Amino acid sequence: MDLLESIKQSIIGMDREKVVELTRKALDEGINPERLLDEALTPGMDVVGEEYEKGIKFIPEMLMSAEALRGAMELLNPILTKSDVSKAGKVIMGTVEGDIHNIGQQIVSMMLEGAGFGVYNLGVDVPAEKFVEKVKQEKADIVGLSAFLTTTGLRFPDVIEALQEAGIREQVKVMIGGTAASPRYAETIGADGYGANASAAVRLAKSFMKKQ
Amino acid sequence: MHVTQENNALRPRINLLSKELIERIIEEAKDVLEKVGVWVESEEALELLGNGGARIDKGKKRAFIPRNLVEESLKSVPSSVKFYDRNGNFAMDLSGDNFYFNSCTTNYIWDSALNKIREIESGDLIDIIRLIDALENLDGQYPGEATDFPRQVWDLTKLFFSLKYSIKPIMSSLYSKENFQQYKEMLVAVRGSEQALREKPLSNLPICPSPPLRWSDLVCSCTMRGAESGIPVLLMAMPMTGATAPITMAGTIVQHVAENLSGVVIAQLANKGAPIIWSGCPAAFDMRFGTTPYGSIESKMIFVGYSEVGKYLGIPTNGVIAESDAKRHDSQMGLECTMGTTLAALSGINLISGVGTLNFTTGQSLESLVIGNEICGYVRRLIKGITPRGERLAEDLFTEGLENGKHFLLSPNTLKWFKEEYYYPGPVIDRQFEEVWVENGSTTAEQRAKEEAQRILATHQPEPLDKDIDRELVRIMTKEAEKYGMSKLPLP
Repeated sequence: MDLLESIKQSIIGMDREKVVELTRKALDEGINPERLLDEALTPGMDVVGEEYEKGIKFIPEMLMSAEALRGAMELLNPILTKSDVSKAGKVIMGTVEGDIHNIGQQIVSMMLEGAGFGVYNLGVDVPAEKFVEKVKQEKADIVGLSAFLTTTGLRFPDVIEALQEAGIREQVKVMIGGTAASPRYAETIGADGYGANASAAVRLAKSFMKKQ
Repeated sequence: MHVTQENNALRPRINLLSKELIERIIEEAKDVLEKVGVWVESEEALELLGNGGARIDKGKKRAFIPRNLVEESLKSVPSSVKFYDRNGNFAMDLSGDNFYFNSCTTNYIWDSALNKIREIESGDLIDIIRLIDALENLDGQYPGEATDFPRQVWDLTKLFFSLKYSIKPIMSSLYSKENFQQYKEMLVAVRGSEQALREKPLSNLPICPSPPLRWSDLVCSCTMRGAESGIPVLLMAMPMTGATAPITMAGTIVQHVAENLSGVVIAQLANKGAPIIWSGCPAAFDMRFGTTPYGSIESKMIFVGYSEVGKYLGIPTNGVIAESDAKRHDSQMGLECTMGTTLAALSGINLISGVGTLNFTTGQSLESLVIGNEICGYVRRLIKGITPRGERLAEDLFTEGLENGKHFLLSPNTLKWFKEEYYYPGPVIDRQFEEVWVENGSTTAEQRAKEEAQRILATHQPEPLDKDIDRELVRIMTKEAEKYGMSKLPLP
């Protein structure tokens, strides 16, 4: 089996070790990162994504495949060119200040990675300034904010305000999610969108990139 | 209504866990608390635990709770928690196998006029409360929050509207620790004094640690302040199998028990003898969609599982087990609510929450409350059991019929027992002859529930609140709402 095909199958097969081994081999043989992304890694995750949508694969399986992908990305990231990465889109993800719920946004992060986005997950209890800092640092395209408590939902507008004050609100799309979010709330606070679940968040992120 | 077994009727029961498994779960939960420990965000709670004998890692905010501290704490937990209505009359005794029903707060409602889900506002909340006030099988209230108020006081609206519009005892949580002061103030305004509130609890305070094994500052604070005030604290662990808890049901129950036990310890250290309710809202995480279906059979089994452990420990129990994941009051709602209420009552859960609750506890509808009410009626009748009546159960009743040609319909014995022995539900549950049903419009249960809800709302007036108390509650609520930009409360 062709090396790139093997990598693709190992992604689908949730075999991180194999993916890392074969990716290393591919790089040694002079295959460039862009080909690895376009012909092995992304197609692999596309199949996983499709099978998940069809109900053939389940969340733990999808996340295992994303873990396998991550193994490859750890090897590729240092050598990917600016154009390779910016093509995919960069997303800063995090749970807002005062909130420690993270499972939902972790699933979103992994699905975004699976869809080819470069994801920087700041974790939980993230103050607005930290989001702004990271957006500036990475020249991010999208910020994904997560909150699960009624009161921490109040932190969404804080982040939007902080982006405005830093003069970079226009450069980035803001999407909100979690049980403290809603389409109505997104509109009220001037967010660019609301993701009701992980698949919706990925679709939203893709739609943001299309418009650019 | 509390159920007592009369005339030697066996109290129907189920068990999902053997005594051995319950004991094994408890021992393993204690091991988890000792060796794995809990993460405690609150410095005050960390210090409290440290002073109580737990080993503290201040830098990492971890508390390792020794089993003797757990065992000591369990000794002082009351085995009965009584609730009194707004007038101070006895309403519920959460102990033994007594059981009561209530719904669960949501901020969305299925609006069947508009055919969609929308946020609950003050007017909706008043209707929901008036409806709950009228429904005979809902013993308590946890109706919802008014989203037309500023977000910072949504939690206070839950208590405020409940106190104003119904006398039934309340379940009501907080979203910020600062609001505890006003929460307590409102309850004291009704009872007259802190001591009176302590003697006659009117509301319980649900708190949810963050799985796995994490206590946020808010939840620590509510537990300690609630315990100090004698407000029964409802320890509600919310593990999600395979996501924020072990994948297996038994494994999740271990985590659930560990979290609840750490809550018992914090509460008893804050105030020895503080009333506690052993509760939860666990979910068998759906690996297809990433949702938390409390309506699933496995979720309901976990509800029963952790409750069996609570009962073994002699602590009053609760769970939002009646919830359905249906988005509106349809067949799914009927079947899931029935499954939940029946399992709960059979296993002896003292306060059965989530009747009429929908959509992963985010929604409800007037109709689902009405349908839920009749489901509860069936369940009450089930638990009443079969009572052997009379010296002879049947033998002496045949003579009239066989010899005098009379049928049982004319027997004095029938007249004596027919109302006591049987529950006559309606209008949701339809038992008319088909022709009559057709004449009446060939209605569905959902349509009948809608009509009934409207009939109740058109006719039922809850007992009004004393004017002075009402004024005081409005004053407290207005003061808080004003802080966040609302100068006048949207009251009728």
